[in-house]
Amino acid sequence: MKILAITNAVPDPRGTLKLGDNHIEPSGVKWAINPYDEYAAEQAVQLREQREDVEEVVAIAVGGDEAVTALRHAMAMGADRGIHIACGDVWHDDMFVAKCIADAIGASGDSYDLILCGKTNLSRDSESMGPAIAEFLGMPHVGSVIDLEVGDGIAKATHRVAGSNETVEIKLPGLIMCDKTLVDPRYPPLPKVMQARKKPLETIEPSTERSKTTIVDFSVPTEKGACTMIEGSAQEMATELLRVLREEAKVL
Amino acid sequence: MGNTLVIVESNQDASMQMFTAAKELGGDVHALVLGTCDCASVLPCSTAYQVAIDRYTPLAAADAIAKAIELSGATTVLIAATQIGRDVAPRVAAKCGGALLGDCTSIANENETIKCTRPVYGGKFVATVQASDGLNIITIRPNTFATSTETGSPSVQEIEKNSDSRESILAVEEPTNNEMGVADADVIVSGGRPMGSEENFAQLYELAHLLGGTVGASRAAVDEGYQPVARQVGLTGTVVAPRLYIACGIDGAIQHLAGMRGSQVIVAINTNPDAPIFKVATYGCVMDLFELVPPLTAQLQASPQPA
Repeated sequence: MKILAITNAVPDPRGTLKLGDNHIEPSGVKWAINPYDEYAAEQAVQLREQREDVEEVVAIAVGGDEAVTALRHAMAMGADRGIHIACGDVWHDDMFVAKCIADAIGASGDSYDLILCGKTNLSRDSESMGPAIAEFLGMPHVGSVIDLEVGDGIAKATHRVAGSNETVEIKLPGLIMCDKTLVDPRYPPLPKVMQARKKPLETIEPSTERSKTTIVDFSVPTEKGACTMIEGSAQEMATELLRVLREEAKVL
Repeated sequence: MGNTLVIVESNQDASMQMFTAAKELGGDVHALVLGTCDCASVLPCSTAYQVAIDRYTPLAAADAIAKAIELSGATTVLIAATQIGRDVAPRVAAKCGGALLGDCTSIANENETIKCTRPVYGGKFVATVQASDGLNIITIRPNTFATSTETGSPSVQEIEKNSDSRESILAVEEPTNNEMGVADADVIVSGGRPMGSEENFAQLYELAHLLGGTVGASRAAVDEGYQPVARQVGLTGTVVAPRLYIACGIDGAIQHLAGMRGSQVIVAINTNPDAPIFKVATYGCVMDLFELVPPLTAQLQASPQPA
């Protein structure tokens, strides 16, 4: 079987991002593999280690040069090769990214039995790419997976839905969105990092020109009006807090 | 403004908020009920479609929504950004060749062009996104709009469920203590590292249950093993936007703030008046949580919430 891991890059969440003239200033931003995509890469590599029938693990990413960082990281973790869909560092929505990846898979002639991606993309604050790719490729998917068992032509995946754990079986080919606790991503040692630089990395053009949605403005979120401090003893605070929640905020 | 289709799923409160949003946009409103409920015939819309999906699966739900889009001639589809809504909306957009505007925190019709705002980069920025000229699938975060209390008398039309043999639910393991999850909870009482132990979290559960909600935890509290990862609120846990979020002993690391700042009302209880959590809080209490939570609980017990 062939496995594809989608490993996009996101700005390091610990870094500071600056708001430019209606765009997010990319300069000075440290990019890293999207943390949830790291689970996807790890799961892909573990499946190859556990099973004899895994021929290849391929990593794919969409974006500017920063995407290469994420792909090299995935390859250092153990992916065999990378595909970079180069589309510059302008903003693209999930549907655009999903379409580009689905089209690239279609055009490559490779057919993957299992596609793994992260549950959430931390740039776009979104969980939309995975289901969209699955639909474009006409395959089932499971979101927020915390336990995965891959069998013969099927995948058994457990995910959390409204507080309960649901186990779903899908027929492969299929797409799995990896959640935290699915696997523990390895930290590639330096020799693997060096080796990854020599692994094949193909750069291709995106199939679509632009997103269907347009960003017309970026802004800094307005803080909720100044915080109203509640004073007094613990008893008085409790009384006053319940009063404002009931009478002013009207949330109780 | 073209026709709008509202999707009603199992989280009905969140779904009823979509009718408020639909009204704001204007145009004729249709609805699709995923599941078997008696509510279809009284929804505030002109036609209510219904499909007998007992438990959500993506392929069957996307198929039913696509059919309802065709039948209603909708150009806008509104879905609450619940777990299910977020999961199915991209499939529908891909299936029907529509644009997707996900996780919106506001929506407006500006001269027949829909514009939405949504958080990006871990909530550090807000993007204003303009919809496409064609079909737009829009998910809106819960509690962005008030729950619609209007009723109507739509014609009800059954849509046939198209089960897909490629997906099947094998088992559903309900939580042993029947505690609801944080993802779609209406009220969340969250605890941080100062909680000190798993046992102490019982106080937060008591308070949360009185308020009709559940308990969340900061990453620090989860790392200490006080609560399971499933309860972690934040960028690498679950992003939540309840009606009321009470942060107990949580300083407010940027990842945590990004995961809860969309809450309608935030109460911060912290001994440190300079804690970043007060920057996003609506109400602040500089007090040890172990001093304040017991009287809060006691006073709520004395004058309980109207159900």
